[in-house]
Amino acid sequence: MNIGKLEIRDREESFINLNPLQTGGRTTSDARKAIISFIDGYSVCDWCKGALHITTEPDIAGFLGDVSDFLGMDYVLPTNGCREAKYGVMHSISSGGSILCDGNMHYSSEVAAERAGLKIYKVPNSGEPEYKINPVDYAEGFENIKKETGKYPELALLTHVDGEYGNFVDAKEVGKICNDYSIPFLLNTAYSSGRMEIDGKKVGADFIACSGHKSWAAGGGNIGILAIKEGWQDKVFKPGTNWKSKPLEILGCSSRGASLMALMASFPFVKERVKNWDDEVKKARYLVSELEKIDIKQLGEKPKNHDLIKLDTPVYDNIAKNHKKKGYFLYYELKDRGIIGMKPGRTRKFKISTYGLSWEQVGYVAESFLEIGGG
Amino acid sequence: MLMEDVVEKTFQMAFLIEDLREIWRKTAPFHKLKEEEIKQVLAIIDEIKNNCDAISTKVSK
Repeated sequence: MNIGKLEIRDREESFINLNPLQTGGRTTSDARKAIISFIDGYSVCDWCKGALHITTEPDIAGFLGDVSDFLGMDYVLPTNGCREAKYGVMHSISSGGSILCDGNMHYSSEVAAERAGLKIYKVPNSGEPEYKINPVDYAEGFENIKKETGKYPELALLTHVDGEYGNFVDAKEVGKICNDYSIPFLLNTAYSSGRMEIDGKKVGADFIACSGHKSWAAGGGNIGILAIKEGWQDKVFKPGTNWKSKPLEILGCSSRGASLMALMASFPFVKERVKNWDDEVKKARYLVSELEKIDIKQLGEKPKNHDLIKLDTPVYDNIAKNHKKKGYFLYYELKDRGIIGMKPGRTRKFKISTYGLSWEQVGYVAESFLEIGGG
Repeated sequence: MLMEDVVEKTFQMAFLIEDLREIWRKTAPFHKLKEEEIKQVLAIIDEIKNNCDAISTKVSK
């Protein structure tokens, strides 16, 4: 079925989608209803009061207050995405110094820092097979930067859960070190907030960047959240000189349409689903334990503490060598079984996510992988 | 029924479709429905039909 030249997208309705990029942003029916209703350009501006974040009809201002409480922070602004939230912090803080980041950081953190004029230093991961970030290495990183540049970094960034291995880092430990050094701490929660409970004050974060379309069941475009601690609002949420209601870092008003409404509509569901995080982790661990019965090895920290699973799969790579479809066989074998989300052609290393699947679906995914692998 | 009710019923149907879509999402890929889900699907279809009938009656007058 087509919409003009566009093919309809029915991947969530017709298949089990394992793409880690997409599982946490799968919308609720309420989000889709909000998107339908607010689909037109500037739809949230019917009752504009001068800026997006102070709009009360629809009640964006009230929603942002609720999100602030939910994240254990003090002030919140909507952004066009998590990367825009990170960039906003970096840009407002940067005076051309440096930033210390984790070695598993997302590329968008790196380009945001570069754009903000910050010199990037990294805390290395532990390498194969777990690629873990050790929080105490932040202290060593700070000292090394001081030794090299004469100054401590202007900002520290931690990717709470990285998008390559799905490793979960104890943000509280990093937060404590940052607080001890009086270095502002930016927590990138693209893969964590909206999936699991996060209390910014408890972890000692000065800033939290979130991705609505990655982990808060929002869609209809890009949407992010920037939450900050009391004391930073004059710097990070500073308004324009001649536009006192327009925060500079979101260029006055960020997401001005359906995606923000989708985020708001899904929020009650998100507040509830984070309470089920332990079960989501159990599903990931179960799938790993099943898959490792054949020649498959999970990469990243063990046991898993997140739904994003990176796998090393010699079993499929060996089959591909003699298969008529070569490396594409796995993609088609899975698709024939109603499972998608894998990059076509990949048989040696790939990422999947069990987030939001029922136990029945997870069991079926495990059976399918084992069957294809001859297990 | 006012014309604005026709619009409201159109939205209601669009929203009911999203509820139906949600059931397909939760039961992918085989859509083997449990008793409760069958009831939900049939209730949604009934409501869509009722809305269609109401709109049909209104615009035919």
